[in-house]
Amino acid sequence: MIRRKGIFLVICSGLIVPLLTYVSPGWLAISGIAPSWGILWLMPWALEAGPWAGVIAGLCLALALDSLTIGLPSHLPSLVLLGFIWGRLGSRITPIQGSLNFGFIALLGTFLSGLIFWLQVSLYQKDAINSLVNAWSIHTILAETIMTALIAPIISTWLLAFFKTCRN
Amino acid sequence: MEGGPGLATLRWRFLRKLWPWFFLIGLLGLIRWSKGSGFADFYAVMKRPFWPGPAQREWVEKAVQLEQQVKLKLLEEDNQRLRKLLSLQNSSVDGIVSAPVISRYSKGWWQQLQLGQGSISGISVGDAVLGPGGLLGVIHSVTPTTARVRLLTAHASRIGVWVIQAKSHGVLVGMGTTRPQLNFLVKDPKVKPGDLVSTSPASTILPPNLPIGVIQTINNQALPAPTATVQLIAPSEAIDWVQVKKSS
Repeated sequence: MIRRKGIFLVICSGLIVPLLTYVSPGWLAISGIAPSWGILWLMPWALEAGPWAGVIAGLCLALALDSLTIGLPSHLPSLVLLGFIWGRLGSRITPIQGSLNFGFIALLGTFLSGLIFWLQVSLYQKDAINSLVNAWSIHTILAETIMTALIAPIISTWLLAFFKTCRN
Repeated sequence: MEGGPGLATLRWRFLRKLWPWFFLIGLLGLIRWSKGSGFADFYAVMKRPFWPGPAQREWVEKAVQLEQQVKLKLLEEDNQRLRKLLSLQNSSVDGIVSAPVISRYSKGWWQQLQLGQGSISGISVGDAVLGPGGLLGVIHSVTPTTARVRLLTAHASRIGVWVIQAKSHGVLVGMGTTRPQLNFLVKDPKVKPGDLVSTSPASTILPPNLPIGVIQTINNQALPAPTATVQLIAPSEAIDWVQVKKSS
């Protein structure tokens, strides 16, 4: 019964992610680009629950987030990959602790996710291949990475403690 | 040497008495030669306080406006009839739904708006979305109470457009940036920076002649045909209400 309640709470917290993506406040953005709420949720969950739970959560989250956008790029490749990598990282004997570590992991993860988005856009849109290293994509990747890395130490630390409580 | 003034002195005195009359005659001669401009100007200055007031000017302006409205209505009706004959999209002002913007991604990987009106209000996929100044995007998907708009700046956005001044057709392609790219269909489109871009009058998908933006730069070296960067008129970042033009 306690376990079921914990799972229910985890799912509820995950459902808040698409809602946060919709209502992301304008002041929490760098020139209009908001932090990646999906990454902020997935990172503590994958670190806590392991690689396969991370992959499944990444898959579910990607499907939910893709339903909010008009099309490519998709969240699926990046969130599934990050769920697996962070799950492996969390399964190490020494647990990852410290707010700054979370910020650094989020920074690398968001940057990787941004690169995957950029690759999808470049492959999908033939016109964009002419300018593979175009200013807007670099601007988007950097803005999203900085915003996510700045917020991660606060939100992900709190979420990790919440997931630990839910799992126990 | 006694005696009266000399003959020369007398002549001089006589002329001194007469010169104002010469001056007057000369002045009148000038006025006559200039077709009375001095008189007319003087009259206009004097009459200025008694000119017809602004009320009369407003009556005339209103009458002109009314005349223009009637002319516009007649032309519009004529245009609708002809477009119907050609099976083209109509540009009537009927069937416009105002919708609030409830969420927006105007920058980043996706460029879209989420509207607070959906299929219940008659909005359907493919409807044109207008902001103050011109076309913003096209409805991508609808739910009963919401609609999602693909902005003109989005990656997969492609619409047929027309440069009014040059009478040149092209395809407006979203590049993910704030300024979409206009791909011309001919080698020499004869356009210049500052030309107005609108929806194509031959469009069977979007309403015709909706203003979109202004050509900013032109790349004549592009292959197979020149391209241009277009600055959009309607700013998607700051719009809270939009108008959806229902196609049916």
